[in-house]
Amino acid sequence: MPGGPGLQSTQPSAQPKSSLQQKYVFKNSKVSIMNKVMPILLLLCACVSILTTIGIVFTLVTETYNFFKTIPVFDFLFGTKWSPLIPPKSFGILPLLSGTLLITVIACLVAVPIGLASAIYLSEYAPTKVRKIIKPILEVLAGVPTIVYGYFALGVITPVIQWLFPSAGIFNALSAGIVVGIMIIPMVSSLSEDAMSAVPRSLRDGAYALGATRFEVALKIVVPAALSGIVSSAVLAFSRAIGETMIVTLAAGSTPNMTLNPLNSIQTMTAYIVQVSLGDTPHGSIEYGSIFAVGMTLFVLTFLLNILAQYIARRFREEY
Amino acid sequence: MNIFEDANRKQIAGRRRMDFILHILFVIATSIGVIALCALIIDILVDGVARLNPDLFNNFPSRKADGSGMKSAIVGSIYMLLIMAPISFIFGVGAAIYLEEYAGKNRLTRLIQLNISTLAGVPSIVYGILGLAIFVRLFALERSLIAGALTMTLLVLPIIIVSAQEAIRAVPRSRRDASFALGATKWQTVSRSVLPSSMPGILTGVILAMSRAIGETAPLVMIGALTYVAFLPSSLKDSFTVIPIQVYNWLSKSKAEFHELAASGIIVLLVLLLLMNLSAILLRNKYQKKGL
Amino acid sequence: MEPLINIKNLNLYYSSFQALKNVNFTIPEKAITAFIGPSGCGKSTLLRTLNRMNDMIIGTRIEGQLLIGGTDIYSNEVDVETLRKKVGMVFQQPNPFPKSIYDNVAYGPRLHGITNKKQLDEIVETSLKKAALWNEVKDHLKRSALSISGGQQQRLCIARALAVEPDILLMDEATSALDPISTLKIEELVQELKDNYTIVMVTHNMHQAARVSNQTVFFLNGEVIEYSETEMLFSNPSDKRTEDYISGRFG
Repeated sequence: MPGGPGLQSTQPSAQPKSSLQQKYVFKNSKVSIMNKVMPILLLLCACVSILTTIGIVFTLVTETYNFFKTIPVFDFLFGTKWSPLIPPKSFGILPLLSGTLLITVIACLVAVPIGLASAIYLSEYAPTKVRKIIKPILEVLAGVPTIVYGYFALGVITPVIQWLFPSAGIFNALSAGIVVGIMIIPMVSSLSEDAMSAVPRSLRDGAYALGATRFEVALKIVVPAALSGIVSSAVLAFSRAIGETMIVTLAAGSTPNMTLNPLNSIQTMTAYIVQVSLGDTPHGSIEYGSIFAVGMTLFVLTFLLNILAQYIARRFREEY
Repeated sequence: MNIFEDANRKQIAGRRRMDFILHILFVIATSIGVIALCALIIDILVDGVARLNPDLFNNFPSRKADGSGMKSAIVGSIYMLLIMAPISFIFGVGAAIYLEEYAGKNRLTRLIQLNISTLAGVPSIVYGILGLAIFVRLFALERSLIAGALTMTLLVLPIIIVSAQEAIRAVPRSRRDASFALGATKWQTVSRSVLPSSMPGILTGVILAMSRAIGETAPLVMIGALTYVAFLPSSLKDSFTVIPIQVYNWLSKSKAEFHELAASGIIVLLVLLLLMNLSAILLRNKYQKKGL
Repeated sequence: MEPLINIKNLNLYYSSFQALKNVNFTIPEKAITAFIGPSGCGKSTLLRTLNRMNDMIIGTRIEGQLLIGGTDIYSNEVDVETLRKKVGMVFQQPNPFPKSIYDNVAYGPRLHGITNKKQLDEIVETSLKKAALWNEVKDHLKRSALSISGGQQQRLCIARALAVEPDILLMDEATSALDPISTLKIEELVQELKDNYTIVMVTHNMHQAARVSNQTVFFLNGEVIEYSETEMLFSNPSDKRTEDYISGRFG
């Protein structure tokens, strides 16, 4: 018998057929260390993600707390002037917030209709061959680095906007907003399409059997059935646009500005953080602290939006 | 009686027209995405192709556009990936194995899963803030290559964990049963049967994570990857730069020649991305054929 | 001949559901015992208690004793990995690993510490011969196990199970996914194997049980209704329910 644990007989039996004299002992002399140790090591790996979250929250909270020792919370949250470097220094976040929101709204106005329409087309209209080509193309769009989009905004979209609206400056919210929107289209499209694919075929078949046209099935049956997933994807798109950095840094400008006019130059929260980091900000100074205060605002906003998106997807999902 | 007699032809024709119009609109909407991508690629190629010469790869950046290159950025990006890859692989795959094979259905597990999907939605610049506070300041790693690599590892970890989990989940139960029925311990089943089967999917996930990392700018700006680096990093604690930051640097200059350089830098970045993604696709196809 | 396997007052619960009720019977050594009964009657569940595969289902609870060779396999003294080395299993769907034929058979011995190439070569050859597969694959041992037919894959799984030198071989509906010719080949194989191994097979095909086995056990709703020598059970069953099942009135 090849090496290893197993049968230990107390005495060899005279008759090969009798087995009661042999007592089976199922015992292994070797103890497997790996089997005991590996689960612990693997758990530690899994805990890295928890540590990351703790790290983010801890860092933001402590530094923001320090910041608020100097700058009153009320002034920060409701102040309308953001001038951290140029005296008279003022740390009201509303201009950055409004700049971020302006970009985000423009981006969603671009991404949600186009993304949803693409999803409807791919899910309800497109023949398989077309789907096989278009879907990968949209995935490629999703994989393009944001700095490349930034270049695109500066080099192509901004000149077009300036040509259409001569009053627009080189840095304007519209250009950045449009490109952020383009970047987000694949996200809305693929999440909405997933939601629509989850709608069972039988619902569509029932409608077609009654004589409905494709758009009626799409708009009156499928979209309402997939609505929770579609809305959730829009919320996620909103969150993604808020967190976008490089496109807005390159194309939207660095002038904190509370304006509704998309042709103006503005500054978003993310662009501000980049601006301060590129400069020589002494550690511990109030400008350094402002990075964390703005970062905290950003984190809280995106976090809440992501939770909202998950809640919508779960709570209002039609179970089939 | 002719059953078609009662049909309200006008109404049906109207609905059909609507269907036709909307079909066209939907096609147009879908094309916008495709057209945008084409416009982007064409624009970059047109602007950047002229400066795609050996100088770009051999030289360091300089004050004059002619003769400026991005050697430091290319090397920096590659070094960063080389450091990131093993670290993120170990922790990412380790976490995935734990969650799929060992974790019970309890609160801690749900918390970890929820945590991972939350982290995936955090803006990349927040990871930069984390890296700045923890790696650069707390661990006193300064604005170094290692600080950048560690920060980017944290950024891509959720991606690797999720795709590794999917790959492990895809291994059918029957394979595990067969291994256990032969007397394997849990770890033996995982390491000798489950992991080898799921490795192609895992590697694909790692490659995709790396391609995300190579294109990121904001977190590394926060870490302090310098925008003007005219040397190659020779140790983990050296300062460094990466391709996207070099591109950003050039784009921030006002002269048009630097914008052309930025475009050629982008071409280099996109080619790298293309190679990485192609290898991921090839990997997936090769192992799908084997029936894994 | 003393029975090798002795099941005493066995009750099995999946959480609150009782899958096996007061099971009591014995299984003789070096013979083929068949478990028959309609779906959901507990025959597969009992089979899996013999190598403790149902340990892996959360909420499983056992009462009673299951003795193999005199040892209660559910006692704390028993290493389940060693048990499974002695009690092998072949599943309903052939499940070879996506590795080469050689590596499939060598998987088990390698688990238990054998790394010497010569030893492994010998074991692979012996096991494949015992499973009546050697002649068909001996020239392409390095080929993927997935490239052979379903019937051959199942014989490969038998070879794989035999490679760790078990004393007992459990077969869980091992031929139900195969074509009639492969089924016949495996039935012939099993007849040869019983000289050296104790075989317990679950089958939904009672004709197979009648053809192949020495002892048959009839299950219904988690209980053992009747067990006896196969010829006796099929020609002269003592319980009416057994007779009804055998004559096709239900199941």
